[in-house]
Amino acid sequence: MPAGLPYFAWIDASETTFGPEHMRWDEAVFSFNLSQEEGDPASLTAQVRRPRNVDGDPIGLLGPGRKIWCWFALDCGPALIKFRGRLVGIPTSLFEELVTLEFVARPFDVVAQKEALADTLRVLPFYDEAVLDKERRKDPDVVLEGYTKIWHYDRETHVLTVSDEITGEDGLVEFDGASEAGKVFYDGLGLRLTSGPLTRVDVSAEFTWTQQAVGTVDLTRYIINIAQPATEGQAGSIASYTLDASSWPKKGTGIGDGWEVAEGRCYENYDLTIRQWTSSGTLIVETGDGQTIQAQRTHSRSSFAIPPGSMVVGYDIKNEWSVSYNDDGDATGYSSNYSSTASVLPLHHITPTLVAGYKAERQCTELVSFSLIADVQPILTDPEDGEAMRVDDIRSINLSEVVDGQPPIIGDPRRRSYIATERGNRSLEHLIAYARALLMKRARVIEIAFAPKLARMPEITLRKNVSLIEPRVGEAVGKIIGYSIALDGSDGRVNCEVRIGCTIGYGGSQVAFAGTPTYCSIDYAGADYQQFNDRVVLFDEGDTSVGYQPPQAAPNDDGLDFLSALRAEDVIDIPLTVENPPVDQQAYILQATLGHTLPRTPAADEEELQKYYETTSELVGAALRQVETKLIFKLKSMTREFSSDYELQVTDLKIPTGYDLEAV
Amino acid sequence: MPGFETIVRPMVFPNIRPIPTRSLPPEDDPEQGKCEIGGGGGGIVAVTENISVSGSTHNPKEVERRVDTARVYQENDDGTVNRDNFVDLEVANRIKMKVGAHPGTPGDLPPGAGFNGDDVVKTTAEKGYTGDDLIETYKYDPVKEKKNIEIKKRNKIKKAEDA
Repeated sequence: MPAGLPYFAWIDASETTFGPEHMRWDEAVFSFNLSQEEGDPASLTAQVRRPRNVDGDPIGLLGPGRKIWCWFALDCGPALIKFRGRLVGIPTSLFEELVTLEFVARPFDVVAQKEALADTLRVLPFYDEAVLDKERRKDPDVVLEGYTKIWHYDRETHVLTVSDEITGEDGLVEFDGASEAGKVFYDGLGLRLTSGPLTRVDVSAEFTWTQQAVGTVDLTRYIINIAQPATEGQAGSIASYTLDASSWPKKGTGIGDGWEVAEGRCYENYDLTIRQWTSSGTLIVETGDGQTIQAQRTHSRSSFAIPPGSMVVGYDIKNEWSVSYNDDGDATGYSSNYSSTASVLPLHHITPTLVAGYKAERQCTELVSFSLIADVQPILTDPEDGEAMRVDDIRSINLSEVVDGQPPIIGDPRRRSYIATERGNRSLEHLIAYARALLMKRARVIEIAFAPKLARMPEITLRKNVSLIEPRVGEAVGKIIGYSIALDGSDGRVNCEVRIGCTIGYGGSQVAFAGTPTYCSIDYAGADYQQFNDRVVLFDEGDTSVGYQPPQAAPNDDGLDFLSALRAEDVIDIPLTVENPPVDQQAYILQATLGHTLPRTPAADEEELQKYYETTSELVGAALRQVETKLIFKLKSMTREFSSDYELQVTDLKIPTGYDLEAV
Repeated sequence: MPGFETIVRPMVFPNIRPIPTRSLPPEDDPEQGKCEIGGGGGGIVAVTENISVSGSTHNPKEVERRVDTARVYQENDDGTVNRDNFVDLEVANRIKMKVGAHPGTPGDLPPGAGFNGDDVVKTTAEKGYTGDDLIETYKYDPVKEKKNIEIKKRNKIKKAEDA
């Protein structure tokens, strides 16, 4: 068959493979335009003679039973360029002799195909669910965010794939400008700048998680070591005139943000219970001459085990005696009564136990920022005028959250840093991939359109690159971003056009550096065991366009590492201070009671003594209220929020040289 | 193509990111969350001691005695009794003593309660107050007749002159 002859066959949807039986003319095609743009399915616009039945009456194209699928083919000489599509909408010019039919090579199951394909593309670092809203994770269009790829619809099979926007997957179509087939037509050649290249992308992203941990810390030794007095105390105990065992915090008492007493016990080293002792005795002495001498003694005492360091703030002694005589003047009886009252302010020696329990719920944020600079040729006279993009809306979900039953993205929610983890590095690489995709796409600023010979058109798909050598253009390599092939029935000419997008980078590649291990040799512990200085990692194994230095964890927090056992020293925010230790209390009480002495002159009666005791008690009580012993400290908050800034070091982005503007 | 199909270029919508959970972390308030352990449990405790000692002299005085009059004959070594040679004795079987105001101890014996070795056996001592004075009564077994002892008179009351 001669080149340029079109075939048109109405088919069933099941006829997915082109065969010789489809090389027929179900409709008389007057003119057509077959085209496809990057990201879209191919379309065919065909002008055909208005279909009629055997009686010559027009027939409805969309009537029941009519086929809506077609195979279209154009003989290009060496091969056919084929198109399978389905009729869309209402044909235009329906009442003219020539009607226009529009077909599109879009699969029926495009949604299912896209979702299936998207599933295969949900891989790190190009896709990171950590920075996607939970509700948008199933959106298939979102998966391409980190790729330099775009959907591709095969015009014959309708298989949906993705194709890289810089380097096509199906090879290179060469137009060498020398061979007969490698030449392009003089007319139809065009070159334009679609826009200025994007020279820099400034990315700032926010990774947040709730640092969660539960545990206990024994504060006993820490408290005692600081609070035990240098004098008048006992090793392992605390002394105070006001702080007694009953004042010690009990289990469940809050002792800080996110802290409560897990175990709180305290006992007095000395039993301060008042106890009564009474003893009495009688002694009878017989003198032998019928006389007896009888003596009786009664001793009663109320006291307690007075701890060392206790203060006696009042003391009174009464000693009374009397002798009785008979009529002869002989002494017949004797009695004496001794009583003493001491007002004692006991020094409490307490031995406490305090185990603090924590439940951490700390909002942590890592703010990552970096600028990825594209190594592109300037198209403006001052490269500083290059366009920059700012991406500052990237933020993560709560990385410690369980989503859809999956373990938290951060892994262990006790972590202090996310981005320094293996998974965190993947998130950083995703950011780089995202910025890279933006720069790469915008680096394709040279668009060249040319008219190849018809014979080359069957080679053209949107999954290929073109190498073009043409005297006016020079050399260019670019991705095919669109093509069309059209026949105008009025003049019978077949017009072919191919458009390519060329990047204007300088080429080259980045090189990975192992860096200097910070802990031990790589041989000893492996490459993934430790952190490195000056390390450059390529963001993806199959790509050498950009690298970065994985950051070392430097959380701007309070230093709590829940992954290891916490000691008291670790959790203390403000160290313990003892307000009014017993020495200070003693001095204050002495000062407060200075001059307050027992009324002896004239001899005090009971009422005065009672008043003295009451006044003493009031003075001492008031003084104690002024100088209560307090142990004050602050534990690190378990509800605080932390934010750490990281400036990520990335290399320049190497971009292929699709077109050398400097050589033009 | 200006057709009826939807253009299917990938569109990344601006709302694909999670909703921000926070703005800026608040500054930590150093005063917030402080733990203060203290207490006003101290107080004065009174410690008391009392010692009472008393003493009294105890000098009892006999106020009455009840006696049996007994005649004791000489008993020879061979067991015979010489009725020409005898002595008359008054043997007390009850003595009342004025003790004074100081109470005595029950069971205590008055001085000089013993008489004639085994012959006189202490029985009981009773106490009782008469007015302000305490009278202690001591009873003894009455003397019994034997071949050389003859009871002349029993239960003769004798009062002290200053009783």
